[in-house]
Amino acid sequence: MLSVEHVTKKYGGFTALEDVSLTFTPGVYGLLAPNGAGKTTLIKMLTTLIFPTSGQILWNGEDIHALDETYRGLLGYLPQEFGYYPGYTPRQFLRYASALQCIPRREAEERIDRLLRLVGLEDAANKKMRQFSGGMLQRVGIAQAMLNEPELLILDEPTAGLDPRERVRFRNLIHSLASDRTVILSTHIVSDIETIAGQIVMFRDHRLYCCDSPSAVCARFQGKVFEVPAGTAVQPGQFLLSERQGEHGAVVRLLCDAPPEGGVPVTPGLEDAFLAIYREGAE
Amino acid sequence: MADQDHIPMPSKAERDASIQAVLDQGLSPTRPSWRNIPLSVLVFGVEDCLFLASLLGLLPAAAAFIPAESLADLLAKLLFLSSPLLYIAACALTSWKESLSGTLDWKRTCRLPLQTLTALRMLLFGGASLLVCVPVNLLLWQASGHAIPLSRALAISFSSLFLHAALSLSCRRLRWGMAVPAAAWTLVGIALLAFEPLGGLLPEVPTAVFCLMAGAGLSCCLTQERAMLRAPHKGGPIYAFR
Repeated sequence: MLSVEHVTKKYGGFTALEDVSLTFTPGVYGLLAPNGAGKTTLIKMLTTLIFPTSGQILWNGEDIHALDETYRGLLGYLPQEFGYYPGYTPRQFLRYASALQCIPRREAEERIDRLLRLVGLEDAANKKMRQFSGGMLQRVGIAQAMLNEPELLILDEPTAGLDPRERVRFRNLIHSLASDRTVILSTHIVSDIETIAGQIVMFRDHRLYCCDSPSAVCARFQGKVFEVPAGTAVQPGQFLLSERQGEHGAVVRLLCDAPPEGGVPVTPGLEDAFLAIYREGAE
Repeated sequence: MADQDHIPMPSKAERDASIQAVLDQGLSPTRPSWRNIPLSVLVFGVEDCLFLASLLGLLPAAAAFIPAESLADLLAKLLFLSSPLLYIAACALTSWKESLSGTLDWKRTCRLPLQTLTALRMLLFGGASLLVCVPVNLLLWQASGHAIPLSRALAISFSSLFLHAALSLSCRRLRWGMAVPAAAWTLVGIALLAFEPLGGLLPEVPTAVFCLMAGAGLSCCLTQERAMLRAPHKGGPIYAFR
């Protein structure tokens, strides 16, 4: 179990995260917040890349920095910008990564074969990575993060830059990996985690806003989201969430406490909740 | 008081078992050993940097085409300034490539500390520099018509190489940046070449002083290497920043 206890991170006078307390148990957690909200800062602290300014992060009750390589031995990490060597094949690259993870050679070979099959790269195992698409590279990154069979898998914006097909494939892969470990997935793309995350962690104003199931997050706005025909003037107290094509033409989704004239109540989705939480001037 | 006299104490067997358990925990080799790291891991992804650095290290050999009389005047300065070339180039090129490749973040989360990898790489660069230096020194010494004794030529070359390596390793541990040693060497080079009184001093320095400098440099290198390998998270660009 990973516990974040009253963690604050300051960069000089700028507070990136303030007094964040969270507990991660096995399952998929989605860190969902706009860019600059502190997702990557939290991830860098969870991966021991930066120290918290105050507070502590514990793995099964022990400080992760004190655990040192024991903690890093059970951690798998895919950074936001996954660095690789284009002149090498995934197999060579994974051999290198397994040496850095201090995995014995024979064991590493077995794991590499298994992981290349898992991420669907067995046919491209001996092709140079400079020929790979963004999705294929992300799958190499996932294989790299899974090499040490981590109990904690942390993925920072793993679907950024992927086409829709690759994103679906990636989501399925994450889902299959999450059965017996803690997976922390950071993204600002709502659809990425709507289907696979058991818990959504949201930050607002550099503080923890909520850590709840997607349905509980959406339920906060139950009865407050309505669809009206496009072109309807937005009144004071109403907030425009999004626009979409309905059966009878374009409609807009509004957030408001009282039903607008001609408005049809709709079930709020995670995207509605996201837009509602991060709307300008939201309290 | 009476209660304190009757505190249940562990038996000898329990005490011995506890001590053994503590010792087992404390002595278990949990820290990954740098001795198991193959050479291929040290050069992975930076082979091109090493190749370029080796070419640079061999560059001073071109001075063998200079007429012997001119080379004889230049030899001491040339050896002093050119010996760390391979080391400087290898350190600079690998650091540059690693930072460009974006691999540092995930490498810092691996079990093997990045500092250990760096320390071993720098040891490798030192070894490679020695391998290149000696034949180049011999060639230049030969081409200069044995202008100075071979032992002096080697002492000048090694003192320069080891001092530079010691400076590089110290800068790395003190987080002064990798540019400091290269900048320092450039300044020394300019001073030796541009200011005749200073350049003229070099041939006057006794061989024993160069031997002493080489010995001190080597000893400092080994001390720094040992410290980096034994305590990879103390000093240097450690895996986590405050």
